Amino acid sequence: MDIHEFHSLLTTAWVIWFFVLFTGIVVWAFRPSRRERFETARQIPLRDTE
Amino acid sequence: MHDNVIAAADAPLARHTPRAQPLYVEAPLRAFAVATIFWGIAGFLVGVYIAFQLAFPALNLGLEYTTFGRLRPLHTSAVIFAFGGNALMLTSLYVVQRTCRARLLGGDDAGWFLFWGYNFFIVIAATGYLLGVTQGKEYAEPEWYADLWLTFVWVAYLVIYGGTILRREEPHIYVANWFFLAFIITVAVLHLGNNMALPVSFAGAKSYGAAAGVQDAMIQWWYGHNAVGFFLTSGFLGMMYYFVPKQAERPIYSYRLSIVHFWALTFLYIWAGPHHLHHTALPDWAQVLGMVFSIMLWMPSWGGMINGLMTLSGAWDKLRTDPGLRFSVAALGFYGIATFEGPVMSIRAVNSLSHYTDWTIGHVHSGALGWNGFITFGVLYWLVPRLWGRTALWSTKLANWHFWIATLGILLYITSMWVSGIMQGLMWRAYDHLGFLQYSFVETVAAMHPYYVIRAMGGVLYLIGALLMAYNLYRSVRAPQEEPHGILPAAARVAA
Repeated sequence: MDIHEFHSLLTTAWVIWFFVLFTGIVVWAFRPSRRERFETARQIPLRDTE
Repeated sequence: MHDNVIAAADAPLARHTPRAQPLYVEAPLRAFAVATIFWGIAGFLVGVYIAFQLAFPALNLGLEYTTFGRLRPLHTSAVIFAFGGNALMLTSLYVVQRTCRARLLGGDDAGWFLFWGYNFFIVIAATGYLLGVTQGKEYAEPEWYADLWLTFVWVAYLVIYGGTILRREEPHIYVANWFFLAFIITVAVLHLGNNMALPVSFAGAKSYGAAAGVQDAMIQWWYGHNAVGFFLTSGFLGMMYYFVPKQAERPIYSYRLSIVHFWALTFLYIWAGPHHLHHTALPDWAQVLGMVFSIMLWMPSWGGMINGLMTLSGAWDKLRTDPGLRFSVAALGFYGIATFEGPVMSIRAVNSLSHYTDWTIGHVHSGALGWNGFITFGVLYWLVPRLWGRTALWSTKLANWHFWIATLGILLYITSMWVSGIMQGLMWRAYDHLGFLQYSFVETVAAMHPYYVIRAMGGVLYLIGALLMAYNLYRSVRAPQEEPHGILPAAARVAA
């Protein structure tokens, strides 16, 4: 495998990696167990005294 | 929905009984607020002037210092980097301290260094433009010495901002901080990437870029479009995620949506730059890539708009009484319009009509005047009285006038540029029955004259609105202080 083939393999792998990573983020964000944590996080700006 | 409202009212009390609040850094933030207003008015004024220059070329005055070519980067840098940049530093440093419950790393000195350091960069860049010192790269005109200084200030900004997050008392990093952090980090990368240049001499201003030809063009628009994406979008969304909930006194509509649209925006924006180079020497695959990613960007952009607008559910009545909130909501509307128009214009067939025409200028200004300008005005109306320990605006009525005058100004601006831009594009491509171009270039310029005048009048209205705001805010902070510093209506209601 020369450097050009390796490069095209890498660019394809990079697309797949980003796709998997983003899917992982979406799954993580929508896990039911996160609901309460996010509910708390939403309130952060309204908690300070100003 | 009902649960959320109840949670909003109860949660602060339940989880946080009054706790010692860190001594937040505020004095440099007041300076940032003044600089934001000052540079805003200066930038709008130059914009109005160059708009009249396009309609009446005699206004170039026959002097090299006042030609359109030198004043135009002065206008763009003043509004984006001076007005927008000071607004972003103001809000990011305000928000990071409060959402992390931590005093700024380095305290007042760090804030003052950022203030003077950043504004010094603006002054050396701006004076350079008037003297004809430029790299000739759009939105990256400053020469190497100004770029080096900005790099130093910007790294300090990252250290101060990131350091404040690291010393946070609040376990979770609130979403506004992610947007600000994405803005700071990405702008650093873009700035370094696009300003790889070799100075001709140590004593001279002139430098030459490391890349040439189409590579240089691609690097420039990778920079240029991501300056829009991470400076004017991510950074200002950071503002939105803190100040819209504050103004509406409601938590953000969906925290999940904020996570998903943050990452979608961050993953997609970085690829959209090639749409600035349609039908050029750039390889077709890169043009198509830029187009496809630009179209995909529509969704995460609207995710942000929807999250902001839906935050108002149950609080829409506040729009009648709070002009600051009205600015923020109108800003989200303009954000939605501009981020729909952008993907449409990135389609190669549409771009072959719109590119190099005034349509592009109109598109940029619906984003800049409508989204960036209005969200900043909304923040200033809320934040400036509070930074000076006041509770209310001097005149809500005057702020209402500002809102309607500025909105009318934007509408005049973007509608005239739509008509003029599409007309210009159609005239350029019109053939007669023998296959010759039907119009000479100068005929297209003459045809645009009335629209240039209308656009300039729109700019005048926008400038008048900003002057009303400056006067209103000045009177607000000069008003006699009624309550002790720090006790404000929103807080009083929570404690009651």
